Amino acid sequence: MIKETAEILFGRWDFFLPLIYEHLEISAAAIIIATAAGLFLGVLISQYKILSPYVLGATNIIYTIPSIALFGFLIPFTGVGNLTAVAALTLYALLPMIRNTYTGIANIPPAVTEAAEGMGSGKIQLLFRIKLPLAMPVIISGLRNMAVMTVALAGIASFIGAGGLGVAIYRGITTNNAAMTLAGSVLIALMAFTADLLLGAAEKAIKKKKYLPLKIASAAAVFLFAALFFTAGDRDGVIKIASKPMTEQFIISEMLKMLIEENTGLKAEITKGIGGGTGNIHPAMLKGEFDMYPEYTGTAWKFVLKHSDNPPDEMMIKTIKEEYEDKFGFRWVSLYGFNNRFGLGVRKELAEKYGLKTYSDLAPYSPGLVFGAEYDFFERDDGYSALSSYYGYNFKSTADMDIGLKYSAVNSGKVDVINLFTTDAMIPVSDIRILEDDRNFFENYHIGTVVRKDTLEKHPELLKALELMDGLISDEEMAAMNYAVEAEKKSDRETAAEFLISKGLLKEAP
Amino acid sequence: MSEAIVKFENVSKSYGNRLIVKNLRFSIKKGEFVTVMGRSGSGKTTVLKMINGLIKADSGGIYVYGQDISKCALVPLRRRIGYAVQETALFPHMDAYRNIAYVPHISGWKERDVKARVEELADLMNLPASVLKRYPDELSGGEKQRVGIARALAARPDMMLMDEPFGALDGETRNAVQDELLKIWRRYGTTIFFITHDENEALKLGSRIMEMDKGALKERTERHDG
Ligand SMILES: Nc1ncnc2c1ncn2[C@@H]1O[C@H](COP(=O)(O)OP(=O)(O)O)[C@@H](O)[C@H]1O
Ligand SMILES: [Mg+2]
Repeated sequence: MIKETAEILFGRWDFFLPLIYEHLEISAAAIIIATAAGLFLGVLISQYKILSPYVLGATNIIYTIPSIALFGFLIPFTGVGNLTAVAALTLYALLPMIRNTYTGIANIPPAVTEAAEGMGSGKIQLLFRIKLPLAMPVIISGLRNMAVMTVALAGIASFIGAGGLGVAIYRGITTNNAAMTLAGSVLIALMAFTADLLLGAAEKAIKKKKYLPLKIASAAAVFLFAALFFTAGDRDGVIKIASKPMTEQFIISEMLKMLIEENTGLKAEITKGIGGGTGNIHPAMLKGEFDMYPEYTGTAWKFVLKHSDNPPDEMMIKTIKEEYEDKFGFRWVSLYGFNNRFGLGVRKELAEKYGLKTYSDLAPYSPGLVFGAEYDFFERDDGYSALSSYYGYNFKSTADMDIGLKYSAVNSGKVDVINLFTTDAMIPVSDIRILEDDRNFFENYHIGTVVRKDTLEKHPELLKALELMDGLISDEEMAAMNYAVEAEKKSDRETAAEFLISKGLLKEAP
Repeated sequence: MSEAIVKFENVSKSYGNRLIVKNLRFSIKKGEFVTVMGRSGSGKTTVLKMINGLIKADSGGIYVYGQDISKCALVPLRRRIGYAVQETALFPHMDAYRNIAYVPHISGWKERDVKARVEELADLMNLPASVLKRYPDELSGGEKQRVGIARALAARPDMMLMDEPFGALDGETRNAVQDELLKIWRRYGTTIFFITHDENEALKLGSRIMEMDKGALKERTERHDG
C-alpha cells in the first residue's frame, strides 16, 4: 500500500501539481477573506460588547453545520465549483478568527489601554497602535489553527466540483483506488503541516518581538498570493467539460478532451467528479459554468425533464433532444453506443441450473433466493419494491451492502441476485449472468454529450470532433475500461487514450 | 501668575451607593507641584482620572486649561496633559524609544522632530542610547520609571498627572528619579499633580501637599525643609 502510494505520488506528478496549486489557491482565498472579515467582526464585538453574543452565537452555529450540508445550502447561491468551496471554507474559518481577535483584545491589561487613552489616543489609534498589536499573538494562534483546518477541509470541497487535492481523494474513492486516496490525503496533510510550521514561526517571531523579518515575510506572502490570483485567470478560450463522480464519466470526459484537442485548435479542461451529479451539473451548465458533460437518457428523462412514463427508445430520445433544445438551449450530440442501465445479475451456476434468461424467469424461483443491493436501491421509489411488484418477486430475504462488496457477495454465494449497472467494472471478472429486462421495467441509460448551443455556435468546429464518439463504445468495452481503471489501477487518461488509438481516432497518447 | 490650570467646582462621584468624592472644590495653579496623600481607597486615583476625563463626574464642573471638560473634545486636551501611572504601563510591544515617542507620533509630529525630542529627553532622564532599543520587559525598574516620565513629558505638556509612579521602586533608585523629576519641574515649570502614599516623598517633592479624606482634598500646612 505504501509502495503503491509512493509510486502514484512520484509517477503522476503532472496530475498532482495542478491540484496542489489549486488547493493552495482555494485555501488561501478562504484564509485571507476569513482573516479580514474575522478581524473586522472580532474588533467590532470587542468595541460594541452587546453584539458579541449574537455574532459569536451565529458563527458557532455555522461551525457546527456538517460540511456536506453547508455545501448543499450554498450551491443555490454560488453554484458548483471553487466559489462555493471558498464561501463554505470562509464561513468555517470565521469562528476561530473572530473568537481569537475578541479574546486577544479582551486579555490586554486594562492599565495599558487606559494609559494610551489617557495620553490622548483616538479610537482608531488605540485600535491599530495598541489593541491589535497586543492581541496579535492570540490572533496569530487562531489564524494558525484556522489555516490548518481550512487546508484540511478544502479536501472535501471537491465533492461539489471544486478543484484541489480532494479531487485525488474523491477520484480514489469513486474508482476504487485506495493508493490514490492515500496519496491525496498525504499531500493535504503535508500542506497543513507546512502552514502550521510557517505560522508557528510567525507566532514565535511575534513573541520574540522580531517584527522586521515578520513584516518582510508577510509582505512576501501577500505578493505571492496576489501573483497566484492574477495568473489564475484567463480561462476564456477553454472548453469546460464536467463529469459526474463515476469512473466511466472520468474516462469519457478524457476522451472528449482528447478528441477536441486533437481535432480542433481548442483547449479543454475537465472538472472531474462533481458531487450530486446531474443535480449540480445541470444548473451549472445553465449558468454557463460548463460547456458540456456526458449524460444518460434515463437521467434526463426522469430526473431533469421529470417524465414518469417509460416510452420506447426512439420516442424517448427524440423527445429528450427536442425538450433540451427548447427548455435549456442544450444539444445532445451523438450517443456513444453503450447503455449503462440498471440490471439484475444472477450467479451463473444458478442461472444455468434454473435456466434463467429474463427477469420474468426469475419470479417463480425468487422465494428461495437472497437479493443484494446497495442501501439506496431499497429506498428509492423506482427501486426494489417497484421492481418486485412489477415482476411478482418475493425474495426469501434482502441484504443492503456497499457497491464495492456486491460482486464478491454474489460470487461467494452470500447473496444470489444483485442489482447492477450494465457497465460495472466487475462484470468481466464475475461469475454472473445479466438477465434481460423482458417487460421493460428499467429505463435505458444511453449516454451522449450534452452541449450548450452557444458554445457550438461560437466554435462550430466542435461538432465534428464530438460526433466522433457516436456509436463508438459497446457495453462490454465500457465495462472492460472501467475494470482497467478500478481494478488494474490504470489512469483514466491512459485508458481513454489507448481506446481511442485502438479505434484509429488518435495517433499517440497526448 | 495665579491662573488656575485645574478647577473642581462641587464635584461628586459615587460607585453604587458609595460616595467617593463629595462636593469637591479645589484648584491647581500654574507651576504648582501638588502631592496628594491619603488612605488606599480614599479616592485619589478617582480625582486624578477625572482631570483627564477617564472618569466622568456625577455632578459639578471640572475645568482644565479653562475649558469645561464635559463639553470639549478630550483627545486633543489629553495630549496636552502628561500621564504617568504606577507600574508605568509602558506599551510592551514598543521599545523604549517608541514608548517615549508615542504622543508625538499620534499627534502627527515630523519624524525628525520626534527623534530630536526623544534624544533630548533621554539625555535629561539619563537614558543611554542602548536602553532606548530595549523593550519594557528588558528594562530595570528605574529605567522603566525614567522611560515612563520621559513618555509623559514628550509632547511638552503644561501639566503632568502622576499616579504613584515610583511606588514599586527601592530607596536608592527612587531617590534618583525623584531628583530628576524635581529638576524638570524647576527647569520647565510644569504643573504636576502627584499621588503618593509615601509621606517622605510627598514632603520632599510637593510645593503644596494635600490629603484625600472623606471625599475631600485638604491642605497640609507643615513643610519639610529639605
Ligand atoms: N470602577 C469602579 N467601580 C466600583 N468601585 C470603584 C471603581 N473604581 C474605584 N472604585 C472604588 O472607589 C474607591 C476609590 O478608589 P481610588 O480612587 O482608586 O482610590 P485610591 O486611588 O485613593 O486608592 C475604592 O474603594 C475603589 O474600590
Ligand atoms: Mg490609586
